Formats: sequence, C-alpha cells, structure tokens
Amino acid sequence: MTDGFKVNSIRKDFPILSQTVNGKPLVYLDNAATSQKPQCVIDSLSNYYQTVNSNVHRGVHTLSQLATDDYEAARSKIRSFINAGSDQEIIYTRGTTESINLVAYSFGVQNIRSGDEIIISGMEHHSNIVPWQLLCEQTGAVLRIIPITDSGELDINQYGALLSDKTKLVSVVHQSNALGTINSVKEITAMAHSLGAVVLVDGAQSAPHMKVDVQDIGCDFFAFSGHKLYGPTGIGVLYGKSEVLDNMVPYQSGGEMIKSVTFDKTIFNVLPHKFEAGTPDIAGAIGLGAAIDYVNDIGLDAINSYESELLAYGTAKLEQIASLRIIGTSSHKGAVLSFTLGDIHPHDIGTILDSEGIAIRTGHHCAQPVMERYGIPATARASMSFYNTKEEIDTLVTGIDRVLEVFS
Amino acid sequence: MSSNSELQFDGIYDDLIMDHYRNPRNRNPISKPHIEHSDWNPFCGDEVSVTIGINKYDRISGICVVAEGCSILQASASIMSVLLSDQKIADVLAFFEDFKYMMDTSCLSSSTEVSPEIAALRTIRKYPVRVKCVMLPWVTIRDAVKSYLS
Repeated sequence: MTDGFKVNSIRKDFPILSQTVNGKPLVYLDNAATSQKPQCVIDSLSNYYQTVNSNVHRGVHTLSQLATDDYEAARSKIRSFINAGSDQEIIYTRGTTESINLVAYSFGVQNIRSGDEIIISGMEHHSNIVPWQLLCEQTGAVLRIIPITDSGELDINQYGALLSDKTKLVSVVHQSNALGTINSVKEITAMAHSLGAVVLVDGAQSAPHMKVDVQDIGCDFFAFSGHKLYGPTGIGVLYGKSEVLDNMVPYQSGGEMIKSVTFDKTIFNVLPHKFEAGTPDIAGAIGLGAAIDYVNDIGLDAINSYESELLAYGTAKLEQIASLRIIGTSSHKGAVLSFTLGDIHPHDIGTILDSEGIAIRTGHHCAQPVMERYGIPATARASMSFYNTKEEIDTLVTGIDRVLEVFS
Repeated sequence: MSSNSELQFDGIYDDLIMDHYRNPRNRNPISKPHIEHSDWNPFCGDEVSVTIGINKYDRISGICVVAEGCSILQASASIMSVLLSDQKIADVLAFFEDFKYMMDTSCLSSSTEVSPEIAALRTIRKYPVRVKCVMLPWVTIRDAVKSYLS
C-alpha cells in the first residue's frame, strides 16, 4: 500500500465503520451510492444547530451574521476545491440531479430550439438522461448518444462525428457510476467548444476521488453532490461560468433570489443568489465545507493514489474467480468494480454478501442503457473509498466464494 | 452443495427454494390461453409473464409462469404456479390476499400452519427488501385475473 497512507487511523474518523452488521464487521463497499461521514462533518452539523442556527442573508442580529459567514465560507472552500474563478460561480443545490435540472430548465429552455441537438453519452446516470429527454420533448430538440466501446470507454471518434453546428449542449459524466470509467472531459469540452456548444460535466463520482480543476477542464457547468463527498445528504453544487450564469433566467423563484419586488416588477439578485430561492440547506452547506476541509487534510493526490492501489488489488483478486466478469475494464477508471457472476442474479449476490456484513450495490445503478449495452439486467458493484482496506477486499472475495458455494 | 443450515442467512436459500429455482415448474407455453399478462419491477428489472388456460368448470387447466430475475423471484413464480394449478379462477384473488397477509413482515411471529412451500417463502420476510421479489409473480397473476374477471 502507499507509503504513509494511514488508513487505520483514517478509519477511526468514521464512527459508522466500527459497527457490526448481521454480526460481522461492516465492510462498506457502496461508496458510489453514498459515502460515510467523518466525525468532523457530523460535529459540524450539530455545532451549527447548537451554536449559530439562524437564517442567512436576512437578519441584522449576530447569529444571522455568524450563520451567513459560515455558509459563505463553505462556498469559498468549494470554489477553491474545484478551482472555480469566483465564489459567485458556486451555486448550492440539493445535489447533482438538481444541478443538472437547473441547467436543463434554465439554460436549456432559454437556448435550445427545435432542430437543435444535445449530446450525452451511453454511460450516463438516469439523472443526466431524463432532464434532456424532457427538454427535447418540450423544445423539439434531438438527443444524440456517444456510444460505449466494449471496454467501457466513450468512442471519441463517434463523438466527433455526432458534433455539428446543430449541437447546442454536451452533457457527459466525468466518472461513470456503473463502470468506473474516467472520461476525457477536457478533450470532450474542447471539441464541443470548437463548434460553439456549451458543456456540462456530471462530477458526482469524480469530485470525491480526484483533483478537479474546472478551469483546466474548461467546461461551462460542473455538477456534484455533497453526500458522495463525505458530506451531508441534501446539499450539492452547480458550478457555472459567470458569463453563462449571468445570461440565464432563474430556475426557481421566491425569497433570497430577488433584489427588489413590487407588484409591477421584480429585479433578480446577483449571482449566485439568483439561483438560490428560499432558505437554503445552511447546515448542509457548512457540513460540505467541513467535508472538503477533511478531504484536503488527507490530500486528493494521496487519496487517488491509495484508491488506485485498492482498485488494482481488487481487480487482480476478482479476475481470479473463473465465473466472474468485470463490467468496465478501461485502463482509466476509478475504484469501482462492477461485475456479474455466472448466471447468479446480483440481488442474490447482494443478499448473501449482506449476511457477511458486506454492503455492495446491486441492480442497474440508475444506468439502464449501460446494462442494455452489455446485454445484462444488472451487476453487483463494489465501489471503494480511501477508508477501505485490502483486507476488506479479501473479505469480499471470501463472500463471493460463499455465494458460489450456495449456488453451486 | 453444503447444508444451507450452516449458513448465516436463516435459510433464505433453503433446499426447497433452490429446487424451484433450479427446476422451475410450469414454464411450458399454454396454447390458446384465456389470460395473458406480464409485469416488471422497474427498480431491479425483474420480469414476470403469466399465461393461463381455463376449463369449462372455470378452473385453471394450464398455467405458465415465466420469471426473469433473481432466484427468489423464480422460486416464488414456480411455487405459485404449482399452488394455483387446478384452482378455480375466481379463487385466485382470495388466494392472493391470503398469501399477501402471510408475507406481511409485520406479523413475523404468526404461527399459522402453512404448506412447506409457503413456509419457505415466508422465511424471506426476514429480508424485507427481498419480499418484493417474492410478491411480483403474485401481483402479476392478481392483476391478470382481476382484469379477466372484470
């Protein structure tokens, strides 16, 4: 393992990891669904409610100012975390899904017309498919799909062939939740920009595991969730270039997002508040800030390096199981092992592993087109994080042996 | 296979379940069926199709249940097809209601005497998330018969 990566010490930061499930030590390998939370994040939520709970951007009283300071400090941490140009480019949402919907319903409805084309890929999560399908139905635009190769990579040549002056928007996933593939979003963005299309990158799976630099990628939008990044549920982020956001209409309306309201006219607030109607998830934002501090303390380079070793170890172990087929074998992938096991249904795999205390995800992972691409109804998916260990992967392999024993 | 009683999951994959999974009954197509219906679970992709032939006494003269999905689903479909063979078609709805009650996870301690097949399926109540796998064939046939009778 990576020299100096103190996984045993890190595990102590996550109280949930020390419990037993079904009488066995918990082996949590469902990190692509949601990550566990370190004590500092849990504490940040209770500290907020115990000491500064108040509404933001409204009151003149001390608590309101303290809450606002903490809430906005978290925004700055997020900006720095993804290297956005300014805090006003960071919009709080409920999560990646809402971030994508915001772009579809604001930018999309405003700019997409009948006959225009939107390009997504064949490895998208449903949350990066359905909003665009609805937009196409509403506007008469056409949805184009970048195909996936056998190893689970995007076919960049096909993407180039799909691009045209009709393309108005490209929305692609940075790291596939079902396959683990990491896509070349910088190249994808440059190709789209050369034809004047805007680009959204779904970073739900990438932001927790690798250094993201939105200015280097060059994308117009980048969406991610707090809960996969060791933060609370209910908070997420939409990064948008300020020049793009400035020209967009509000997604939702109400308090906070206005500068002035009369019955004749409403003047919208400046960025980012124009897109943050109503009282936001203040505690969630502060909790996400605490999670980012925690990740930064460990260091994303160290995290990425350690998780790559876990992936290599797990891949080698699973490849030794004769009837096991790994789905998604790109050489450029995150620590995700999606697999099938002969004709044993993934739900049966999941139930037997659960009885061994091992938590994995089974099903189509909200990516049914990926399953269809490989001609399978579902997979079992072990997704790792920096608090997982080689020993836990060994436990997974023992669990899979048990599955094979039951179904022998 | 080793005895499943040694395993930790309380007999969910007991011999009777595994036998129906490995050797599903009543999967041969019915010629000229009176009822054809299929359903699926969008969350997991499980699919069930039911075809039924009915004789002049309003009894099920032929039944074919094809389930695509996990072992529990397939075993449940097979067991259902056996239990409903030769039943009066009008009794299927009551049969469904009885079965649904027996699968109710809130009455785990119920001591109602049941057939070994039903008892095996009831074991799965210990895993509430898998009860939907058990129920899909039954819901499918309930809807099929309801539609036929209406």
